[in-house]
Amino acid sequence: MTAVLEARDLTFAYRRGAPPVIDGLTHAFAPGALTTVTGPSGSGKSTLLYVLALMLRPTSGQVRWDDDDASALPDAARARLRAGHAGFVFQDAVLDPARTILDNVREAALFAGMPDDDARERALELCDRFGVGHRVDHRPGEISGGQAQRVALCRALLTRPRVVFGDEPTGNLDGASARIVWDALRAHARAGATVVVATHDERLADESDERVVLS
Amino acid sequence: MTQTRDPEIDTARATAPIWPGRPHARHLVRDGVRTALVQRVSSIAGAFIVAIICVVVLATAGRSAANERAILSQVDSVGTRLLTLVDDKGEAGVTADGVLALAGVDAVDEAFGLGSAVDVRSVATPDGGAAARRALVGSLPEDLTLVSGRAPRPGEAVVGVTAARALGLADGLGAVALPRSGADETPVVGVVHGTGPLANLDELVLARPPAGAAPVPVRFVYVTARSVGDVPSLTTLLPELVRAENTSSLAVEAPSGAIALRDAISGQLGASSRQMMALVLGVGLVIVSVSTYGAVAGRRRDFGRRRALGASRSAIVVLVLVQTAVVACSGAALGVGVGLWATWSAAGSLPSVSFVTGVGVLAVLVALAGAVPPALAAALRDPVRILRVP
Repeated sequence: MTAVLEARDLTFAYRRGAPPVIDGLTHAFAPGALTTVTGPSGSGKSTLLYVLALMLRPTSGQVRWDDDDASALPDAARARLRAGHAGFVFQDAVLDPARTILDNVREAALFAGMPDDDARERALELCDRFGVGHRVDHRPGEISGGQAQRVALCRALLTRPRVVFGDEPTGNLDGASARIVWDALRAHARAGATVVVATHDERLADESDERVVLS
Repeated sequence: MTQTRDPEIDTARATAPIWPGRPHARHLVRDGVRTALVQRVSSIAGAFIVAIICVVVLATAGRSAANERAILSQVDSVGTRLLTLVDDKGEAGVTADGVLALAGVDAVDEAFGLGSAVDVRSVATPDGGAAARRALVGSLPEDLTLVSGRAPRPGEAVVGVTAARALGLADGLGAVALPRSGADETPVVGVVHGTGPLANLDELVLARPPAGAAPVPVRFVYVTARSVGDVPSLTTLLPELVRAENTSSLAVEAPSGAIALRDAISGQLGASSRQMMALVLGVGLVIVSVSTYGAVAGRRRDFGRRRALGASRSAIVVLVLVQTAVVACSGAALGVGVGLWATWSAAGSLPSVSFVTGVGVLAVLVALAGAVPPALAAALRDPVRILRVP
C-alpha cells in the first residue's frame, strides 16, 4: 500500500550552521500501522513529529503527503492539510481552560470545516467512548490529567484523520490512562490511519508495528 | 501484519478528503465572538479602553461640537437662511401667485409676502393709537409665535404684540378699520410675536385678504432657504422665481454678514474639535495596540494549539480581529452612552447624531487598526516553540 506519509532524506536544524537534530532520515509511514519514534532526550523525536506534521519546514529533504512534497507548500496549504487530514495529541493536553470539554473537542472541527452537527455528534460519541462523556460540560480545570489527555485524544480523532501524531501522549499519565490512550491510537491505526507516536516508553514501543529509532 | 479496517476511517478519503481543511467564515466569526466572551478579563479591559476613548472624544471634541452646534443654532436663529425681497417703489408687479410659486421651490423652506402699509385704528377706540396694516400673502411663518387667539382665516387679521398695545387690543380680539371713515373693517383674531429678523412684524397688523378679493400687490417677500448653502443661489434666482413683471425694481437682502460669521465659527470650532479628536484617537490607537499585544502574548499557547490544529495564519488574524471588533463595539456603545451623559452634564447640549455615530465607528476602527500588529504577531509566531515551552 502506498504510504500516506513519507520522510525522504529529511534533515532539520533549528539554526543555520547548527548540528542537525534530524539528519538524513528516510522512512515511509505505512497506513494502518502505528509507528513509534524512540530515542534519548534531545534526539529529535518531537521535532520529527512537528516536521512531519508540517509545522516546521525541513532544512533539507522532503516530507511527502500522498506522494506530494508537502513540506514545500505555503503555510496556508500546509495548515489546510493539517486541519483536514491530521490529528495531534501533545504530551500535555493543551486544552483551552476557558471552554468546556465539548467545545475543546469540537475545536478541531472549526479549522477542518467540518459541519457543526457532525462535529457535535462525533465529539459526544468520542467522549462517551473514552470515558469523559459525563464531563462534557465541565472545564479542563475540573477534570484530572488523565481525563484531559483523553479529551485531547477525542479532539485529535474528531475529524477521523488519516494521520495522527502523538508527542509523548502517555508521558504524563498513570498506567491505566496511558493504556486507554495507547489502545485508542493503535485501534485508529488498525482502522487504516497512519499513526506516528514519539515515546520514550520502551514497553509501549515494543507493541508498535514499526519503530524509528533516533540517536 | 494483519489489519482490520474500521468503518470510521473512510478509505475513500485516501484520495478525496471529506473536510476542506479551511474554516467557514461564519464559524470563524462565531468562534471569535465566543472567545471574546470567555476571555472576560482581556475583553473587559479592551472594552474599557475603547469606552474611555469614546468618553474622552465626546467630552472634548464632542463638547466642542455641541458648543458649535448650539452657537450655529443661535446664529441661524437670527436669520442666516432668511432672504427678503423688497419692492421699494411698488413697481415690480409681484403677486400672491408668485409668492405661492416660490413656496413650492425645493430650496425654499417657506415663503410669505406682505402688501403695502395702510394705517388702521381699533374700531372700539377710533381715537386711540394707530398701526400699519399689511396684507399677508401665504400662511403665517413658523418663527412667528401666536401669543393669543388663533391664526387668521381669509378676511381676518392678527396683530403684532407692539401693534396690539398701540391699538388697545392686548387680548388680540376686536376689529381694525381705516381712521375717520371706519371703512375696510377687518376682524382681529389673535396676537403674534416675531423674533430675530421677524421682530419688525410685531409692529404690524397682518391681514389675510378676503376670499375672492382683487389681487394684492406684494411689496415684501420673506423667503426661508432650506439650508444656508441654498442662500447664494436663491439670492440670484429669487427675482425670477417670484415671477416679478419688472425684476429691476426688486432688491434682495441676504444675510451675508451672518453667513460669514457662521462660516467663521464653523471653521474654527470644527478644526479645533477635529484636531482634538485626531489626537485622542491617535493615543487610543497606541493604547489599544499595546493592550492587545499584552492579551495576545498571554494566549500564546492558545494560538499555538490552534496552529497545530490547522489554523492558518490568516485564520489567526481573523480570530483576533473579530474578538477585537466584538470588544470594541461593546466598549463604543458603553463609551458613547457615558460620553453623551458627560457632555450633556457639562455643556447642556449634545453633538449631532452623525458626530456621535462617527465617534463610535471611529473608535471601533481605531481598535481594529490597533489590533492588526498584535494579530500579525500572533499569526507569525512559531507554534512549535510555543507548544514546547511548558
